[in-house]
Amino acid sequence: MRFWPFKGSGQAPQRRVVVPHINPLPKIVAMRSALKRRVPAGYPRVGMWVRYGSRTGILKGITPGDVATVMLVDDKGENVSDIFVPANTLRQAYVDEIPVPRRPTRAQAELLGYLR
Amino acid sequence: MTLVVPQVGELIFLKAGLNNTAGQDQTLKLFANNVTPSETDTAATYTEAAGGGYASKSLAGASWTFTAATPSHADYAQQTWTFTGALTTNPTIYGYFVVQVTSGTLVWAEAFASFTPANNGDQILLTPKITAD
Repeated sequence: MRFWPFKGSGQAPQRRVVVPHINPLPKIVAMRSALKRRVPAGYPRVGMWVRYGSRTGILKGITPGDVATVMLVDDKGENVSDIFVPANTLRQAYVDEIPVPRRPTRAQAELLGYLR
Repeated sequence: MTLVVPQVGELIFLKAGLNNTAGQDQTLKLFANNVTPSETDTAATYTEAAGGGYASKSLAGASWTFTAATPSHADYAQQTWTFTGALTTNPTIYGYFVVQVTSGTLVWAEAFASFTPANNGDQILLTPKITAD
């Protein structure tokens, strides 16, 4: 076993300096990142009405990986299927996108941010 | 699914906690329409189970136990529904909802794995618990 300083070698040990190769986050990714997203106060809320593409659903939860669980509903407001999607692909639904049988009053919609 | 306290239920908790409006005992009901609780719900959102020996349960305020912890929580004794057969309206139970006994206002709701009572003696066991996190 040899210990530093190495006696008798006559040479300093080689030092390797590792410069981390930093790749900047691609702009398109940075723009879409949930971490960069500005979110309104109180968002997201479990139980809120959300929009995924052209479908309306109810947010059931968001995991630490920013994966949202959403129950898509039909035009009666009844369950269709669970989906697991990136949270940043969702937006809060507007009142007219909520199924009629479960649509809140205008006053309640305004308080909860469902008005256009 | 996590239980959902809709906006109408949030007001109940706030008003009772701040001594604006006295709280009330609750009624625990099972719902038989295939819905996911949302923040805009009212009691009318839910179709209560009927038939098959079903009856709602009373939850008395004095019977809750409270634990100061991290987080604090309130617990109630396990409730048991024993069915005599199939329901007479919608056949399947999808969750439960809790309303105030007098006002009938929705306080909270939660969906669980659906269950279709079919035989005499089929049971649903539910232990109410609320965690203040």
